[in-house]
Amino acid sequence: MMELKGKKVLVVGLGKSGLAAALFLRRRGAQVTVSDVRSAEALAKDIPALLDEGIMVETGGHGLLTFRRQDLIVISPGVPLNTPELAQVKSFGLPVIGELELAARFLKGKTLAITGSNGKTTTTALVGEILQKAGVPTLVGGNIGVPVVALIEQSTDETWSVLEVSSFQLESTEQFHPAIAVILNITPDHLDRHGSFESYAMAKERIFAAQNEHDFVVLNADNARAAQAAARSVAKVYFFSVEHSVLQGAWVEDGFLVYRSAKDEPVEKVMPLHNVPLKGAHNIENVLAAVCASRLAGVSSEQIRNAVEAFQAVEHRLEYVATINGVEFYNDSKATNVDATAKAIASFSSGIHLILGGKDKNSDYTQLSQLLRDRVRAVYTIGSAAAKIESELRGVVSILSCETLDKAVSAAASEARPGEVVLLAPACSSFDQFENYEHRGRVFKELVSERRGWNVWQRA
Amino acid sequence: MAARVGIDKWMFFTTLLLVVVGLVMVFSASAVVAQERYNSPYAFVGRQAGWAVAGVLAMLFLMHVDAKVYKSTRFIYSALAVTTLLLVAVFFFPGSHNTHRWIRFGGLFTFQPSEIAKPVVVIFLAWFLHTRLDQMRDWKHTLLKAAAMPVLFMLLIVKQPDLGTALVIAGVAAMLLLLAGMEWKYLGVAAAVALPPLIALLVLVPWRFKRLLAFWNPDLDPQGAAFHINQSLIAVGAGGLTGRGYMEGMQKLFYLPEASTDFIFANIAEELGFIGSIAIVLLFAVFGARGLRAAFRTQDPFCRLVAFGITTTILLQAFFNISVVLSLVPTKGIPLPLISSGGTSVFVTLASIGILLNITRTAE
Repeated sequence: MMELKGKKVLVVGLGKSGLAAALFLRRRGAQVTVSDVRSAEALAKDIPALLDEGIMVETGGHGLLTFRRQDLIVISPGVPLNTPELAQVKSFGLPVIGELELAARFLKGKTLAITGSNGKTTTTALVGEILQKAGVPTLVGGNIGVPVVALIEQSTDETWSVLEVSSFQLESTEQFHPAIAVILNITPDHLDRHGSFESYAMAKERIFAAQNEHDFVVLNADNARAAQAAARSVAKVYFFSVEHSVLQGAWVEDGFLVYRSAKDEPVEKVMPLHNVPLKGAHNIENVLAAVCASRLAGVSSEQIRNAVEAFQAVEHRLEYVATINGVEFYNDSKATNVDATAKAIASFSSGIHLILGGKDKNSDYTQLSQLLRDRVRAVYTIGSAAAKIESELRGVVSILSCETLDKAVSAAASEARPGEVVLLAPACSSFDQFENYEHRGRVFKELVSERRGWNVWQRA
Repeated sequence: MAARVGIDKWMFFTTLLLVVVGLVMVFSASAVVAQERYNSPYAFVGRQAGWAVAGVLAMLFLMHVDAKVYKSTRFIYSALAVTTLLLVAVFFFPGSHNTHRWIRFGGLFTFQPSEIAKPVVVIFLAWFLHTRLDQMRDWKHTLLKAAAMPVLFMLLIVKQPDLGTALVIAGVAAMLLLLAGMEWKYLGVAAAVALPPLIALLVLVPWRFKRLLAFWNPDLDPQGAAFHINQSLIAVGAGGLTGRGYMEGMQKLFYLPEASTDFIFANIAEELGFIGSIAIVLLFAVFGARGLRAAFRTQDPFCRLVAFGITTTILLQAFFNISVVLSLVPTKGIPLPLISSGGTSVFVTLASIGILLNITRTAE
């Protein structure tokens, strides 16, 4: 553990985790400065609290002198590592660390870290729930809500911290040392160049870089890039697979989720597949990963079953509806603003058919442009906001004007090819055509269910 | 969330271009010999074209078959059984050039089983290894079992004898094992085990040893063992920058042996020159880049191994073949994929590319 009292520390980027890091450092007696490129107005709501704590605040850019005469620099996940200022500071030999790395140096107890291109949040929430229900003192944080530094004060030597970590955060880790590291999958995402895909994959692999032979790493055997990480880990490797049995880990066999702790140990039946409340093939992978990780953390199969069966995906929040002709339908009716829609889009790597529209809330839909270009194949507009959406997003993505949800579902279902996704994440409120977002979500689910009857080939 | 993208058009058209160039050059290289032997300049190229058309049809069909269907145990066992049977059956057919490489039905239809062994080894290893990526350090249960079938095939093929094809299979198998996570030290062990018999095959078989000596010193026996390679180098040199022109090559006129098969690249160099040769190399480079791209972008471990194996099989053969023509390695009979005359080779290669093209659809 490092001594912070009296040290001069600069926190770059005043996001949620930057703010938490600054407050933590200040309480440990450091002289803290915060610097952000955004204007004072944009940050107005956080600045008074910082000033009250005696933290210096710089806004509207970083002065070069700000980076001088510091003992430590902590950067937020959103801040790129290759800015000229940081490059220069590093050349002076100053330690530059991320918020996750800072937290890792102070967090007590053991860490269970989860990364991957898709499914991190669900799996982290599920593992947190399993551990909690089993009576393990559990803290859940990282990308999922609470910044990791904010967990430090509550952690004890008995605590398991279940963390969702992104490749951004892993890029700047050194001593971050989870006892159990999970890589759910590594997919090219929106990265085009193979070179950058490989560096993205290597960033994910940093999750087990500090591990030793007493630790565990849990990998997806069905995802080529994630499985290949096994060759570079010194920890004990556990696999999970939907498709076949593994030496040690979790898999699906005769309609059951099963687990085996080692090659010569008996196979434990954890729970029947049809009792898993989360639907969709990728969610089975997430549950298998959670089963394997929780078992390794010492929770019994029975406790895992109870917790998983009780775990409910939140209705209308990226809720899986059905798979028809290989096309998966998701209901995110709760996405009533552009931000929530952006998050929903980001949950899928590509091939999205997105239903947008409803009652406009004076939103700026152009914020979605980059995501739409990278991941969305077509947009289907509904409701009174349709005209505005179409004019703002013209040329970004192909847009079909559908007016009603009924027509949008039909059009999207016939356009989507197997492996693609139809997503209702409208970025608007529902009041022009529906009572509320719950009503809109239910109508969507009914429309999808009707289509389901048409085809006998769909998988469960 | 495997997004489906279209078939890789670069790979598709590169393949067709290579096949067309192949037919055009096979005609040029074989017309005179065919006229002499069969009284028709089209005798060889006609048969080759038939196989190529069948191959393209097979490719068009297989590129619409989901590559994951080959994961089935029944398919794998059948493929292994049929291949073993064919590799044994060749010994019961009359030989040609003192070798037993072909199965013949009447005078028309001949078939070379060692060609089919190459993709079968790739698919078998992909199937066997994709569920054992966590067991690659277990040499007894994983590595030895994985090696058994390929080694059996290699032994049968060496017996034909066709050392070149056996070496291609060994190279591809090694690369697949390494991709699946085998440690390099095991490759060292395998090489140490294989080296004594390999040296024995090279030194104790008189014509191989002579070719080896000829490789080191081409002036030793220019009319005998070094004849192939000298004629080949003469052809390449005669081509110069722009070549003698299509159909204008001299070396194929009974000087350059196997002008339409193993040494067709020499004929290309002579007639189309350095520029034409480089164009062929570039086509293979584009093909290889697209194949590896598919391999590293598909997310299914089985498909990744299959795509990698098929791509390296083709690249390795092209590399060896061109190296032989340029006398960078000793003479070994390995066809230039898609271009050399040889019906089974072009058919099986196109069918494998069909499988590869299907995988490109799942490569985001």
